[in-house]
Amino acid sequence: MVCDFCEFQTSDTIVNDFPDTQTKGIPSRIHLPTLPALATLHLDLRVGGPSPNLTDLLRSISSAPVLTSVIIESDKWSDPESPFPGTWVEVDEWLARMAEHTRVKGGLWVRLRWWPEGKSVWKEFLHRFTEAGGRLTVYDT
Amino acid sequence: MDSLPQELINAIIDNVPDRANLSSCSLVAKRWRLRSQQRAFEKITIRSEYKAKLWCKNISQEPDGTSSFVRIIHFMDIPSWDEPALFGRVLKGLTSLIALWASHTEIPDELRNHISRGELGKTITTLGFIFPVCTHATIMTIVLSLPSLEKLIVQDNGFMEDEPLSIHPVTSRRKPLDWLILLGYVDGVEEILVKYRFTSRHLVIDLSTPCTRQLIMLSAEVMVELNLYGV
Repeated sequence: MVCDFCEFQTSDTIVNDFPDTQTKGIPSRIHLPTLPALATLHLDLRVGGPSPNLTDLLRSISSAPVLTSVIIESDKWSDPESPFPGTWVEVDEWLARMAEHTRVKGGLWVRLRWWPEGKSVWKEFLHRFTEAGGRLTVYDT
Repeated sequence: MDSLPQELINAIIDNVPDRANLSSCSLVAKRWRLRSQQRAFEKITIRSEYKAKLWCKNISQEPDGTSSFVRIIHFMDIPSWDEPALFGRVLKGLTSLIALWASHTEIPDELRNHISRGELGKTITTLGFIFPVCTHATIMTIVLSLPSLEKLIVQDNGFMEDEPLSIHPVTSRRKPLDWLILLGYVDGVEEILVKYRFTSRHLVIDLSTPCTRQLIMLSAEVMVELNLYGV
């Protein structure tokens, strides 16, 4: 189903800055316009962690100028290295770019929803994002 | 009691949570009656064809315009109508109606025809079809015929059938919807939304459906919220 969607998104002009991603062989690229008014992005994950689909989507939206809030939720967060090892690093990179890019006063918030209580390593996943001025929170409801 | 300003009475009634207590409120005094009835009939749910018949019968005997208090109506669990014209008869007279919801309910052709001729639904701003029993074209004929529509919610499990649109209304460039929520297998609805170039400020959609990108692209300039499922 996802591939059906991606078929519409194919663009040969997109340059992927992450060598790791290139070697993973994502079949096609999501290419969206700038979305000049987009303030809130809410992503409900099909799997228990970041996927190539998610990183591709974040890349395509990374230039939204007034983005204030990104909510990423999964009802079954899995271990950081599954199901797609290394994807947290890419998510961190794109979120950091989004945090640098937004023109909104107060910066970009990222909220991880349904994050299990006591699972405290989340700051390590998104350290570049926080270094770039992004604000991070988790909540389990 | 007579010294209480009407605004205060209204504020008290507006905080009464349920219909039973609103019924009691309507008996307190004459000045309590109108607001209590407005609140009690603000939202009604029709759960069977029998209840629909009962509503039509009671309303025909009500000279005080109770039907004009209804702002939200929800038809639930009526998968087929023995008397399809009932749906439209219930809606007729709801002059303040702003929201029409139908869950697991047949949307009869009669209703579609009434709405597409502009005889019903002119005030509707919210339309919600949850597992409707009808074709994609029926839904979209209704959607295209509602001039004030602001919120559209469609959820289906793939059982809706396709058929060509029975009408081709001449539509000027539409204002963006405020909310467009598409859940489940609603490919046929999405295709028609794309064809008619619908846009929305808030978009809730499944990433895996074939027309997702087109809907996002169409709304790109106005969209303030994007909610993607199945990422």
